[in-house]
Amino acid sequence: MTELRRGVLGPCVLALLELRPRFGLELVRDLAASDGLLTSDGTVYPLLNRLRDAGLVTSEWRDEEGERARRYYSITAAGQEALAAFRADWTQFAATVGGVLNHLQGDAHIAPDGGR
Amino acid sequence: MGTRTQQRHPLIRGYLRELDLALAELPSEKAVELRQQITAHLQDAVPPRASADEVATILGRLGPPGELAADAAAGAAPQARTAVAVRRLGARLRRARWQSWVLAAIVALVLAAGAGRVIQFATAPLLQQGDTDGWVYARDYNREVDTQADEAQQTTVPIRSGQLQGLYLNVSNPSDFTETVLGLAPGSIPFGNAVVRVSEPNPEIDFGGAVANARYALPENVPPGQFRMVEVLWRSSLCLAKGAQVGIQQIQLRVRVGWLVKTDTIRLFAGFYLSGPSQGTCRSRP
Repeated sequence: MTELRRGVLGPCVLALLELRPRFGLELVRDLAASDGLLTSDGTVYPLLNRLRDAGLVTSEWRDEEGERARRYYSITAAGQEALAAFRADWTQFAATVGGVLNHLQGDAHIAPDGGR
Repeated sequence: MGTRTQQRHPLIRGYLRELDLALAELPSEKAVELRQQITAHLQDAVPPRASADEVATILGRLGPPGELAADAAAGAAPQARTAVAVRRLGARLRRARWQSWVLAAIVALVLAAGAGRVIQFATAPLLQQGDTDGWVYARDYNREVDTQADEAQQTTVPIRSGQLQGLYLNVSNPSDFTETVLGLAPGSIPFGNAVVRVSEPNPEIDFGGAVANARYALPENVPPGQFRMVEVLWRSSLCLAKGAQVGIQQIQLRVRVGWLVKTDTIRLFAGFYLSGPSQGTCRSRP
């Protein structure tokens, strides 16, 4: 489950950045709001750096009035394409996995008697 | 809004120190970037006047520094061992307390002072011949023949094979350090097994034997700027044919200067020579 969680975290970050640019803690809090998605807050930063290295995310420093400078992350065009591709794949994948799991769950209910 | 005050919290300082150590495995630009991100995260996440429990909870949610670094390393290029070791050392130095720096500074000063002292010892001028030399025994002194050829002086006496013969010379210490004569360098005297001794201060010098009455010792110190008499004795063991000669133009002494033991080659004003034919007991030919 941990690996699955790690695998989907990147697209989830891209999805949040698709709505608007966010700074680090903001992203962490939004992700943490979805139960079970984030194992530890710190993992977001190495992930953001990997996404940046892959050209899916950019960052810039913003100096807002009354606030200290913060680094805001934004999704790139390549990031949007990657996110769209993942959405399509995920929908199909989730349906497939869901179908198999539900089917097995149904079998599991009848297996004790049917197996004899 | 967070301030630098939060960064001074002991728990946060400890966490960042551990993070620095863990990030030593990463390329420096990656390590610096992640360090900045985590620092910024803490500035935003830790409220002013947060309690220790609150800080501990925030750090716990952030995850162990080792895991964070491992996560970051998964996407980074591998580092050369040396670079990693240097970065790790740098991280350790950065987390050292001020007492450690004071200790390191003291050690560095001591080492520098020691190195300076060694250089002084190594470059100090060694013992050199003074104004006096001659044969120790009157029997030789009375029979010496002084010659000069091509500006080279030589004093020659008949060899007395199987008997004690010897020479002395006055030496001075031109350095700023006490120099201690420890003995002769091996092979320095070709006439036979030789021993060297150094006189007490200001011996009475009388050519041809009186100097032998002075007190000699080994090892013996020669303080800066002072003179001492050096006596070299041997039992002549050479077999020389008529007209043959064997001699020395220099004497090599083992001398201790401070912490160093050096070989001091003292160039003699006049060469000391023994001439044949041998009389008495002789064992080897030169």
